[in-house]
Amino acid sequence: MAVLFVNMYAGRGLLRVLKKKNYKMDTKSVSIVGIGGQGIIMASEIVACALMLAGFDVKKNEIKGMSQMGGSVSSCLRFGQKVYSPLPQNGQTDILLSFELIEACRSIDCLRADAPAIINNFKLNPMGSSNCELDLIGQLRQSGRNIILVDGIKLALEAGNIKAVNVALLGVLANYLSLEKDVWLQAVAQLAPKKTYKINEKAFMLGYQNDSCV
Amino acid sequence: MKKLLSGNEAIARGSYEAGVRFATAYHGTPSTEILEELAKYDQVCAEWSINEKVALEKGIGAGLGGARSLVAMKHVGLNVASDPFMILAYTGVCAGIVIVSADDPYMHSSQSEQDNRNYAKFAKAPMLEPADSQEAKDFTKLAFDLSEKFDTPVMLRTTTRISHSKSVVELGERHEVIHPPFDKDVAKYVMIPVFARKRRLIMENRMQQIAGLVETIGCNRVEYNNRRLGIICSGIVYLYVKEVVPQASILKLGVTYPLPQNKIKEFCASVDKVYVIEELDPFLEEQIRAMGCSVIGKEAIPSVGELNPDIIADALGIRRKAADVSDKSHLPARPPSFCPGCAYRGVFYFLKKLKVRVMGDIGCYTLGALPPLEAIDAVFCMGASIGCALGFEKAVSDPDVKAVAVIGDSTFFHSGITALIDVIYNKGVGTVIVLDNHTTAMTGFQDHPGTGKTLKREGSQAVDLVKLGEAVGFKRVITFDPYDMDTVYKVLKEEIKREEPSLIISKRSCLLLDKKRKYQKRKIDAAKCNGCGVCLGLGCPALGETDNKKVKIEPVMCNGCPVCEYVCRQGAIESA
Ligand code: SF4
Ligand code: SF4
Repeated sequence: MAVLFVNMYAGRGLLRVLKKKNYKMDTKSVSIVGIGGQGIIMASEIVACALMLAGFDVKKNEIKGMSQMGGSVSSCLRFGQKVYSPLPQNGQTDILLSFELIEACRSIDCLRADAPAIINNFKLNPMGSSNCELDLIGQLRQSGRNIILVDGIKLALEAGNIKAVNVALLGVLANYLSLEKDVWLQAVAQLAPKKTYKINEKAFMLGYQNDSCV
Repeated sequence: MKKLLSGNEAIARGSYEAGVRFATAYHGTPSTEILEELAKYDQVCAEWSINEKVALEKGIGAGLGGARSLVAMKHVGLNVASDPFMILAYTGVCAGIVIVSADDPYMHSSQSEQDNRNYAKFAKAPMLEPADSQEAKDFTKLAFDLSEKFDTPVMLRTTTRISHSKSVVELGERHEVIHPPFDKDVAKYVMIPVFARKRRLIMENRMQQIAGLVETIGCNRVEYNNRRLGIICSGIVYLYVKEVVPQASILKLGVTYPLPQNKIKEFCASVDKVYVIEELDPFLEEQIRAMGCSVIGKEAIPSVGELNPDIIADALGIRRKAADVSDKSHLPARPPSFCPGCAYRGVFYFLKKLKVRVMGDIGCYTLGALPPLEAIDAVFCMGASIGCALGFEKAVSDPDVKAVAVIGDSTFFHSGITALIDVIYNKGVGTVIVLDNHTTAMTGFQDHPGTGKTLKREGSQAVDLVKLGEAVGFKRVITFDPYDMDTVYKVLKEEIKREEPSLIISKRSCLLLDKKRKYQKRKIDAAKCNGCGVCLGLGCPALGETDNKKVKIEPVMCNGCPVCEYVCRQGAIESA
């Protein structure tokens, strides 16, 4: 398991978050944020399942809104050899996956100083409010985190269904958690509705091989 | 086999493995999933009850019938069930009974953050508090064993973080536990003064026995590390403490009532400094101080809201480095609001227009209190709207100042019916509006006595609200479709004015459930829109301002309803 972990951020050499090779498996935290209805809970279920299949201890916590559509949703996963708290300390999260730009800005401080933030390049104005004119991407870059913008909608459409945005983004995330690809696909197969497996598989692979980081 | 389970799923699994044959609840966040999970097992008779009091009474009955029974509720649900709970502690049980109280510190989705650990002490019933899902499962089984061993109801207390966090659980097998129905024993089961006084002594004796057991029970455990710092904690706080100060010595309590006196004294004597870290009330702290131990508690740890690793690190003065947190107030928030197309929106729009005082209740429709609608004036607890409106009517002499009660269908069944009868009995002349959307929308679409479906999705007799209203004595029972805007306005206006009691039933499915719903999205004719903003007062998430001060309808969000078209005086909103 330790070997698995050394590689954790090495995905295609994009990042070296772990400056020193840390053979001791500390608990790592992944945060997934977005808006109700975007499939965030399903996405975090898949990540948790994949981590478990890979042999990690996993804890996961989410704040779900009420049933109504459109509220902020966030889910946090922690994994390692032995995980205690389901919540990380502020500023100690290792990877952020955001399905939306405003939510990414809201959550960016949860990350460690130079940690990666994979962000769907998509803005949804809060319901009923006027257009949010802020330079969100500029603010994100200013935060000093490693901002990776992804066109999740394009990937999902290419896979055949706009609803597969969540799985396409997981494909991108997979590059930063060095689990075997098969473990991910197994988790997708276990959790996503059977009918949609083909599309989800394609979406995952498109995200996984995605080089078109904006 | 290992599985990732939420605390609630783990309680369900633990109940199943413990041989539970009867389980019931009234749904409420964060407890709801326990019964939804238990309903999947054929061996368990799992039911939604009309409210928590009835749920516990059914649990008591099932226990007398020989079935291990689980009764689950959110913290405020135990207020409703407290009457049978207190007495059950007197009588004791036949087969084991476990009551789950899922508390909600910080009030993620509740109207109070009462600390239900006080109920265990109040009722004199033992209480267990798990920290994660594995413990949630194990403690559920332990709770049933304790319940039968000591002839007592046992409380299993969780909080939102435990109920909704997922962690890895090792699954076990089910063990059938079959008890015969109870033997006739009036001195034990008939709580009249003469018998209750005897039971009162038995209770004291029982608590003393349990207090002995908790000294050695495995789930109260000491982890000695560095002896300079000792921490007494339980539940989720234990996990935060392990995260923040792994080097500390810890007394982790699995049973938080009654407390292991000797173990606590010994722990306090073995370490230099002791913190009692607990969420909400100083429940452990006060008892531990009463044992003569000197500890640091609420002077360092907040008693309001949830704790988290950061708060604990700060309190212990060991924060590595405060994380840079930039100001986020410029980011637009996403406040909850009625879904686009929700059938409630029009009703609240008219109530505001009619300038009545609106006594609201608990459900999605409570959102009618928020801007821009701001149509609800007071909300207390489940079912309170009708009684509040009646009391208001009795106190106010000005006939032009009126209050109406607005209550959802599930809440009405939970605890509105008794007050409805009181309106007639006490000659009220007010208006009661039942917003019937055929489900319990807010907690995730549970069935209730009005839907004609049980928890196990079997057909059942649906209660007819119109007949119910007539049967208790309402002469005026009016049903409308809330999309029929002209009728809604006319009926509300007339009935509120009338000096006669009326029951109005606004009938339309929650649109998130109504799969067959056909609708026509709307759009704005920019040439006609003069930017008056009347429609924005509806708070429909699909409606927003454009840059040139006109209104636009977000086509993906619009669920096509007649409301905005109705309120627009310029005729600028039309079918898309
Ligand atoms: S969930 Fe249903 S009842 Fe609740 S706001 Fe949405 S449409 Fe209305
Ligand atoms: S925009 Fe108008 S028609 Fe569409 S959901 Fe909102 S109120 Fe109804």
